[in-house]
Amino acid sequence: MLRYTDSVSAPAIVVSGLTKRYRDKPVPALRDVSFEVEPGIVLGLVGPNGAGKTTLLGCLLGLLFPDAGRIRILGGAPGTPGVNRLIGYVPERLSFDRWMTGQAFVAYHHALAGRPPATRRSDVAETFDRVELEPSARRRRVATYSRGMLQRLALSQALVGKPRLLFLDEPTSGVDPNGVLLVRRLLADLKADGVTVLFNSHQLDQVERVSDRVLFLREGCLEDVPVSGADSPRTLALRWLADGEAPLTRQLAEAAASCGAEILEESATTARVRVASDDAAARLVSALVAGGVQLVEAAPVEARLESLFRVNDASTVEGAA
Amino acid sequence: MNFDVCTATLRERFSNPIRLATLLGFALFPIPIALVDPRPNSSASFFHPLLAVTLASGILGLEFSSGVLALVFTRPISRRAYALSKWLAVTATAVILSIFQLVAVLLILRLRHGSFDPEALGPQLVERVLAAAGTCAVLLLLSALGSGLSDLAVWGLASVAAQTFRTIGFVNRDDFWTRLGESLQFLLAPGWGMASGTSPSVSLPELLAAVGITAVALALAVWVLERREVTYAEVRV
Repeated sequence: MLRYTDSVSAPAIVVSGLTKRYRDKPVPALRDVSFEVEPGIVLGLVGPNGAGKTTLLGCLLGLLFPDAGRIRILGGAPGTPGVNRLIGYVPERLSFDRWMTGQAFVAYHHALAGRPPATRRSDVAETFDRVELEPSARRRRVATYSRGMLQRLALSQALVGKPRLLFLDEPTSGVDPNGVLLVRRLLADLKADGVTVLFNSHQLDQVERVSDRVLFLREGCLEDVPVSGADSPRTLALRWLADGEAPLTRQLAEAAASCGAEILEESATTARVRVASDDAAARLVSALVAGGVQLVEAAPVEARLESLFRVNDASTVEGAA
Repeated sequence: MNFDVCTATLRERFSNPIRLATLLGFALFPIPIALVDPRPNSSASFFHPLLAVTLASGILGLEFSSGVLALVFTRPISRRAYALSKWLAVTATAVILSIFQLVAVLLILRLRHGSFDPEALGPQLVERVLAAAGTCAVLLLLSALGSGLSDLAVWGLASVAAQTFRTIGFVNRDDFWTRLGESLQFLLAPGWGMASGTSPSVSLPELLAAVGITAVALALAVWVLERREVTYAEVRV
C-alpha cells in the first residue's frame, strides 16, 4: 500500500484493495488499488488515457460502485450524505443546469450542500469573488457561458459548500492562462486553509507545480514510483555568456566531476547536464559560478513527471509533449 | 423531501418552451370541445394524464444524459429524497392543472349546456389526483431506468400497444385482448378512466390498485436510482 503521510492526523482518504470492472470490458479498470491520503495535502493523480483515473474518482465520489475493496472518505463511506457534506467536486465535463443563471446555480448548490439559508447570498458572492467571475456574468444564464466562465462556475459550486476535501477532475483543461493561474492560486489558498485536494490532470507540469505528492495509475494499477522528490535525477540546460571563442570544456568538466554530473551535450555557450538531485544541481551551478563562468540560465529540460512518463510509459500522454 | 429540489425541478420544467407550449395545449384542449359537445366525460376526462406525461417525461433521464446528476449526487442529499422531491413537484403541478381543467370544463358544461352532474365531481377529482400521481410515478421509474427522453418513448409505445389491444378486443369481441389493453393502460396511468361512463364512481378495488401501482413504481424508481452508477459515458456533450 502506498502511504502518503505528511501529517499524523487521520487520513482523508483510505483505499484498500479497490477493484472495479465494467461489464463491457474484459480487463478491470482498477486492480487492487490501495493508498492513503493524509489531510491537508494536494495529491496529484496522473496516468495515461484509460489508466483508470476517472474511474477511481468516480469510486471515491460514490458515483461508481467497486466490485471489491474498501473506501473511506474522511472516515465515512463514499456517496453518503455525511461524507458529501464535507466534499466538493469539479467535474471534467462542465455539464451544468444551463437554464439557470450562474448565481441561481451556485445558490442551488449552496442549498444542496446543506449550508444555512441565512448566509446564502454572502457565501455565493464570496465564492464568485474568489474565482473572479465578473459581476455581470453572475446574472447571465449558464447556457451563455464561455469555457473559462464555466470553469470558474465549477470552482464556485465546489467551494460554496466549504469542503474539507476537494476533488478536481481536469480543472485546467481547455482554459486560458488566467484560468490556470487562478486554479494554482486557489490550490495554494486551500492548502493553507488545511483543505485536502485530489487533483486529476493530464497537464503534468501543473500537477508537478501544485502537488505535494503524485499518484500514478497505469492500466488500473497504482505504481509506487518516486516523483517530485528532491532526490530524483533530472537534466539541466545551461547557458552562459561567451568569453572569447574558447569553449568552457575544462571548467564544465571540473564542475560536473565535483558533483557527479554527466555532460550530455556541449557547445560554445550551452550544455545539457544530467544531475542526480537538487543538491547536485545546486553544487554544479555554484562550481561553475565559482570558476568564473557567467551563467545566465540553468533550467530543467523537462518537468520531472514528464521524464517519469518517458521512463515508465512509452504510450502517448496528452499534455506531456 | 427537499423544497429546493422541488423548486428547481419546476423551474427547469417550465424553462423549456416546447414543454410549456405542449402543457398549455393539453390543458386548454378540452375547453373548446366542451363549448360544442354537451356530453359530460366526452372530452375533458380523456386527456388529463397527458399533463402528467408532459410534466414528468425525462425527469431523471435528461439529468443523466446532461451530466447534471453526477454533480447533484456528490451533494448531501439522498437519492431517495432527490427522486421523491422531483416526483412530488411534478405531481402537485399536474394535479393543480388537471383540476383547473376539470373545473373549467364542468363550468362550461353547466353554463352552456346545463349538463353538469354535481355527483360526478367527487369521483372525477379522485381519478385526476390518482392518475396524475400514478402517471408521474411510472414515468419516474422509466426515467430512472433510461436516459434522455427514453421514458417518454417507452410510455408512448406502451400506450399505443394498449390501445391496439383494446381495438383488437373490440373488433374480435374478445375480452382477453380488451382486458389486456385496459390493464396495460391502467399500469401506465393508474386511475385513468376510473370515473368515466354515464354514472361516474370510484370502486375501492380500483382505488387500491391505483395507489398500489403508484407506490410500487415509486419504490422501484428509488431502488433503481440507488443502484445505478453515474458515468460520463452516457453524457451527451
